Amino acid sequence: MVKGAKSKYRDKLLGLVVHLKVNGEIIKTGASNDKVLALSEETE
Amino acid sequence: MKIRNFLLIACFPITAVFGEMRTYISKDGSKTFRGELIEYESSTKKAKMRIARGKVLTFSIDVLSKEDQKYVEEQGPIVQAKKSLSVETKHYSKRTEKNKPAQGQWHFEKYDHNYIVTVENKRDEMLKDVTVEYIFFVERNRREYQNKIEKISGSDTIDLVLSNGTETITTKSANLESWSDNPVMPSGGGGG
Repeated sequence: MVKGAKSKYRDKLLGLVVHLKVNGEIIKTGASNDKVLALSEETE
Repeated sequence: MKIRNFLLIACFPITAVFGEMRTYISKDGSKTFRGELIEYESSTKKAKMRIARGKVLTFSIDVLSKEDQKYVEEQGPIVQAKKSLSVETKHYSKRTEKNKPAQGQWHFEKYDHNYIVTVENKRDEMLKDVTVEYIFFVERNRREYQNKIEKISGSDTIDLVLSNGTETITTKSANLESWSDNPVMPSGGGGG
């Protein structure tokens, strides 16, 4: 950030969800946090 | 323009999806039993199953009905993958832009963010066609976006994960911005 400048608008990275699939079936799921897992379920 | 790289390691736990307990029928149709497929070796056609009271049996799938043999042959690679695959992610961030604002302009910086996903096969057999599906989210906080949440998703299939080997995929990038709340003001005098 620029010295002396206050960051007012900062985009935020909320996290990642990963699914591993074999033969079309999800075999493992991982998420960086519960919020992002819930978000991914809402949008699927 | 100076470009800086950052590496943030974000490892997270993976939730395993467990095997399915189901009813199997013998080849002649005279007997049934409930079992959970634990392991299947396609070269020998031997299945390992957990049956009632936790007892584990290993037997040739030739003793099963045709339908159940097909099921075991289809589920074998999935069961194997559940046991042997693990995943780790690393988060990368790189500043791509930073302005030198003149009077009346705003400060801003822009960063590219992405992840590298590493899949590890911990068994002595290779695994084919492992698909990695990913989704990540960015909250856009500039006034005009009003905290809109943007979804970035994609998938990549790894043709082969060698025995005791690792493969990686790189996700798409997301561009994140940060802006100062006020433009640079004249330091004194009338300017102009």
